[in-house]
Parts: sequence; C-alpha cells; structure tokens
Amino acid sequence: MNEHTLLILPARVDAGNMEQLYKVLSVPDANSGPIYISFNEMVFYTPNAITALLAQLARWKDIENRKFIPIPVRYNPVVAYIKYMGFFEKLGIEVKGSVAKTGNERYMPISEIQKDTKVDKVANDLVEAAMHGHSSNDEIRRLLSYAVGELLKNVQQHSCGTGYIMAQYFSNGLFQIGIADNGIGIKQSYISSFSPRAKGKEEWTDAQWIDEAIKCQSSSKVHLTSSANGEGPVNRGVGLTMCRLLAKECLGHFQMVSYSGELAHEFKAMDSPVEPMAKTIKHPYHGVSLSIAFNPGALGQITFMDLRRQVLTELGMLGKVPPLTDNGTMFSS
Amino acid sequence: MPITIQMRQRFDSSFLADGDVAVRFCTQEVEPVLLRGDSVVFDFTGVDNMTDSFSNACFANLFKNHKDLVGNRIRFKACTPLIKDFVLSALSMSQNDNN
Repeated sequence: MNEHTLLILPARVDAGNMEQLYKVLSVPDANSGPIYISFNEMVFYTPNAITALLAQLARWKDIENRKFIPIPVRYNPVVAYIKYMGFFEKLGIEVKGSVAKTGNERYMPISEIQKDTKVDKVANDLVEAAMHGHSSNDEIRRLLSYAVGELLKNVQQHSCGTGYIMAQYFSNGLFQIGIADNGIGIKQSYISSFSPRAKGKEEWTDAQWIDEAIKCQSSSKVHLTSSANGEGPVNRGVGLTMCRLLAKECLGHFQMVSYSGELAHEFKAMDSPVEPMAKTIKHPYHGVSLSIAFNPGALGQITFMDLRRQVLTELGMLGKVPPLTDNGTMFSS
Repeated sequence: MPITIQMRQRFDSSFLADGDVAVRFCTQEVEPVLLRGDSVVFDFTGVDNMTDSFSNACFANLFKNHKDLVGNRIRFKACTPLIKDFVLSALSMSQNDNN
C-alpha cells in the first residue's frame, strides 16, 4: 500500500521500555508512502532510544526512499536538544517551529558509523564530549573509549547497515552509550557469514542468537581468516563479551536487541550468579540496538588494566599458558 | 636488520582500536619484514590505550604464525603496563589456538 503513515513518538524511552518505541516504529513498515512524524510528544530519550530512532528513520529514508513530513514542533527542549546533536541534519530534514538552543547546554554529538569511519577518532571524540565537565579520570576515559571502540567495530564488521552512536553522562553517575544500526541483525550475520556455528541452527530464534553472540570467542566471523597469511581469524569475538562484563564490574547495565530478541541486565552489587537469558519480544527492532552503561563510581581507584584483568579472569582467559608475564626478552623500555 | 615501527605515528592515534586496520597492517607491513628475515620492534611510545579487537587481530595472529620469533625477532618497546597486558593476552590467545 502507498498510504501515508502518522508516526507519533512515545514520550519517554529508556533502556527499560525500548519496546514501546519499537512498537511505534513498526507502524511505517505496514505502508510505503510518506511518513508524517510528530516529535512534539518527546519528553525524555536516553542515548540508545535516540540512536535506535535515528537508525530506523535512516533506513526508511536511504533504503526505502520514504519521504518524511515533520509536523511543526511546539517548543520542546528534547527536540531542540536532538536538533543540535545533529539528528535532523543526518536525515536531511528540517523541522519547523520553536527549536532554539536552550541556555548553555552542551550537545553530545551523534556519530554515524560507516565502513570507513575512523574508530579511534570517533571513540575519543565521543568520550571526550561525554566526560567534559564531569570527570577527568584517565582510567574512566580508557574504559569508555575501549567500549565505544569495540561496539563501533562490531557495527562495521557485522551489521551491513548504517549505525549511529552517542554517549552521555547522567546525573545518577552513569555513563551511557547508545548504539544502533539498521542492518541484518545478529542471526543473519551468522547465517550470511556461513558461520559453522549456524549449522543445524536454522530454527534458532533471535534471542538464542543473542545468547550465542555474547559468549566469548563466538563471533559470527571467528572462522574467517585474513587472506594474506591464511591463518588466524580476523575477529576473535572478544569485544562484545568484554564490554558486557566490564559493565557488570562497574554495576552498569547492558541491553541488546536484535530483531525479536532482547537481552537486558541491570547489574547489582549482590547480583544473582545466574545470568539472565535473552527473551523474545513482541515488537521486533529492524537491526541491532544496544545500550550499555558504566558506573565509574563503583570502581573506586581501580585502573582500567586491573578491571580488564578481572574480566579476563572471569572468562577464564587469565592464567592460561602463558601467564601475563613475558620471557624477559619481548619487552624493553 | 631490525625494523622499528612507531605505532603512535603509524596509526596517527594514541588509541589503537580498529581490528580491520590491524589485520591489513599485520599482513601487508609486518609479515613481509619477517618473511625476508628481518626483525620487528613495535614501539608504543605515545600509545596509551587499545582494544582487544586490535591486539588480537594484529598480535594474536602474528604470534600464532611466528611463535618461535617472539622475543627475538618480534619485540616490543615502551609499552605502558596496560599495553603490555593487551600484547600478553594476545599471546595467550595465540597459544590457546595452538594447543
């Protein structure tokens, strides 16, 4: 059908109620005509909500050539905020109405992730912007840059779509990273890479594939080798696992959606030793959307190196041959 | 003849993060040096952070393919404790592959 769609965005979207956004975002897929969008109702959107929304709007615009007709906005600080983050510019649309800048507020940049995006630069810039005025701790900066770098690389290597990423500090002490793409999703990444892990698992759900993807060394690409020497995988499937466990150590959260699968975990100091499994959600998201948060206050004076060692220990990767010492000839000052 | 690679200058960053770039670097620039019999010294002066994607893509495969050269024709210079940990866990990963 070539009928138009009216998209009225939900008021509040955070990691805990993302499905409310996915439900609204499923509406335009039923039609193929122009999409009227009302941003007026937006009250509070966390980074993953903003990146997930942007990735879907980009999909309709760039892949399906849908036309957007934004409904003029009343004064709304959230709309003003996302405007100055570059949200509308990335979609090539102009919102009419009252969207003036509010005071001296700082605007976190949203970065688009393409195949040629410079991972280190985007990671450093995002973390610098998010930490500005909140912390100058180099250990926190290294942790956040590491997480942004690994997550960004995942989109480049697996999604086959366009991704968006942003980071923000919240007054409750959480540094939150939101990253979303409009690509093929985790299940299809395993299938289209001809991963041996996908063999005989054609009926697996998106939720089962999320549980698989967060396992260490279980990436959809670990079987692919570099062509020059023919040995050794180009991707060892460690980054996502590390990020989730780093968030766990920092008492943050990890929430990942891939089509109809969702894994959500808010980490607590006295957490149950039984890890939650991914579940099936009613309203799928077209791509992968991820929210990860770190609470640096929970770390005390621990360095990123020690934190990473804790995670490696939990994974059973520390203490294997050889231990983290060298034979005395590898390193020099 | 030892070839010293200044990692900070080579990647124009103090944060080495891109596994795909690491694979190309390793296969196109490091492997040929080793194949012609020369030594490689990775100088990490000015590098203060890395991802596991980078270290595994670059060093785990290098260690796996040239395990006998580690410590003699493959060496590392001016590593911070964190960078040293990344290199050593890549070494662990490669040894795990070989076992």
